[in-house]
Amino acid sequence: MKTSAHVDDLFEELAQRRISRRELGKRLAALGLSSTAIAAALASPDINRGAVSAQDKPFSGQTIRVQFWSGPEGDNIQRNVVDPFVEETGAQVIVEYGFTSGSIAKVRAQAADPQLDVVLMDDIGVLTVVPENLLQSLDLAKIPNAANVDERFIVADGKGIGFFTYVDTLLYNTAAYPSPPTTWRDLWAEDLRNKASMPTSNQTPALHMVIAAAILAGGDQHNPDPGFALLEELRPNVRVLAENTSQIAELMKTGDVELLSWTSYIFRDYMQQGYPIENTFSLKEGVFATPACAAIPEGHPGPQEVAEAFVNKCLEPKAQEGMAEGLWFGPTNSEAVIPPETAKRVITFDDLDNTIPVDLEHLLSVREDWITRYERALVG
Amino acid sequence: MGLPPIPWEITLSSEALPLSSPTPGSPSRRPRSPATRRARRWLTAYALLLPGAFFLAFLVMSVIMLARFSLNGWDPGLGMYPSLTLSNYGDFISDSYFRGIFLKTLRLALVVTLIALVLGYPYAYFLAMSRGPVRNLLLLIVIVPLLIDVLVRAYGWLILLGDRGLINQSLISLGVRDEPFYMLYTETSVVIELIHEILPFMVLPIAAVLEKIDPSLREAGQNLGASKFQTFLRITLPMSLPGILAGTLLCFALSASAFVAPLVLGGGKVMVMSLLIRTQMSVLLNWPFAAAESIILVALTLIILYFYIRASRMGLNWRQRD
Repeated sequence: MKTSAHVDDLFEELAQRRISRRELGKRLAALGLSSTAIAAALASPDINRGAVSAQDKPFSGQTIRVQFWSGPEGDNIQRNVVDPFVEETGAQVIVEYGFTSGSIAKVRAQAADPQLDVVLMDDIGVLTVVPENLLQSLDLAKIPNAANVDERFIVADGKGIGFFTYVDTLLYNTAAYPSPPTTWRDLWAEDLRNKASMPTSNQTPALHMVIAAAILAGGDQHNPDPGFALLEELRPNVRVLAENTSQIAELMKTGDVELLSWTSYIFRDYMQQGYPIENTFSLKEGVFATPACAAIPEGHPGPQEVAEAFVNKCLEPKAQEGMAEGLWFGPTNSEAVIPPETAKRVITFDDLDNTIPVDLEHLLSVREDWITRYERALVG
Repeated sequence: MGLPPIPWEITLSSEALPLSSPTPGSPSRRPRSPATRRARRWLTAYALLLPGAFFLAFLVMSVIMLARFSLNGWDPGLGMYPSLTLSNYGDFISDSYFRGIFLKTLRLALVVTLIALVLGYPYAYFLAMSRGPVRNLLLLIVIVPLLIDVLVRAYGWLILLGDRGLINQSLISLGVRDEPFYMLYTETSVVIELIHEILPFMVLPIAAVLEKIDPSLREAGQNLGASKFQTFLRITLPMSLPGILAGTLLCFALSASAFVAPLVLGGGKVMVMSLLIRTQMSVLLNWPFAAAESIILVALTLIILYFYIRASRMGLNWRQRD
């Protein structure tokens, strides 16, 4: 009944402290309830329990501002971390969006007057801003879930902590590749002219591609020159530099792009819709696993305990299980239980030893040079 | 019974008509000196400019900040730091890669402007000569692209120009080609989208000037024995030069600074100055270098446009003397 639903809504508003008991009484009267009924309702234990439960939420009325990626990544974090955090704690979380490079820019730009309380970005983003003393050291004693996070995910001496991993590898059109590619070298195949795609220079996968090319050309991440020369040879095969997921998914679907170097989970939703796209973790040279980290800017404006609680939520097994199921984010908490079907799609602790190790400190020192050279090699 | 006579003697008396010339010495109607009238005109003009000047001030302040940033230093680990150095400009000018991107940007802008002129002038001519519903329809067609968001328009061209897009499907079904023509993610697709985007800015100024040409001038030319083509060449075209000048200036400036078309339809493979600035500003966070690139783009574009305007005006003056 309409009136009953209205009354329920009003009780809910009281429970969430959006209206006072006095206002509740007025609105009940406006709905035509008798004064006796109103008095009984206001005196009922249910009402009082509702009001009390709102007060039980530890961070009610407190607000933090968090920045993380937009798109499917952001949605996954919203569903599995932000929404449950808000529900459980009563805190308000204002979300701002940006890739790692955007987060770095924002943290730097706001150095004198930080606006963000928590920043979620790639590990290289954390390392980039650490020398400028823009991030505080995480007090892991106040982040209980950190106890079960492998130490390899503690970045920059505790300035950041990994809360999921993603894999950069090859993705392929299943019609063009009945069996998965086995080596990064497949990108240079002669019959792949105008059929390949590479990440844009502003993404971490682009830097990984430089390392892969260097390895193929006989160099390594400390000697990348052969890799850049090899990337120039890739130019005729590159149809488009991948930045927009839906655009590339359509190109993969139509067969205009057959092989792509990018992040493995990018097309999860499309793959589940039947797009002919698959990824592989079995490349001869190995794949790249990158931890995405949570960090707290130095001098952030919001409540410290709320920010730490948010980071703790990112590391919670249930949140990480949800993120693995949601978008194939690899867990960093050893307590997270990943179903076998999903485990095939994510990097687990067992798989980490089969990845190409990346010297992050070195990568940070050459990042700007590599981005420019990567663009020159592929674009000309 | 006829109408009463108009009392002219009453209407012409200074008492009956307060707007008539005042008697000498009357304070309310003292004639103003030429200097006062000039001053009032200037004051009125400046007062009308004030709202625009308010917004212009923000633009000028932004450009000044940009110019100041361009003189700062940059360290990969620390970011921008205060300095007074021309090294950013030196690095840009001395690097063949950056010079190449700048020249490519100007070349694209020039190609787009010329094609827009060739396509836009006939359209503007028909628009100026048309009347009634036909004119309204022609006007609507040229204005509609302006009503569509630039990103939506770019994605529309993505669909049309794709390997399995409408254009390739038509070419293949008509037997013109056996396989798709790779238009997407090339300079061709960027040029096509830019032409679609800037064509209204070429058509409308030219049409506005053409509409103001006195038709009797064309008639006079034909009466004196000139053919239609000669009339167009000797009368219409020279008189439409101000519109061509305005249109080409607008189109060149818009094309040189275009961002969405190269980003969406270039597929990351068509690098122009706007995308280069984006990489430096938001990816590498090298704000001083990005600022220097911005100043270089604006300054050199303004210099090119200055010489273009001078050359056009010299041509106009020569025509007038002819």
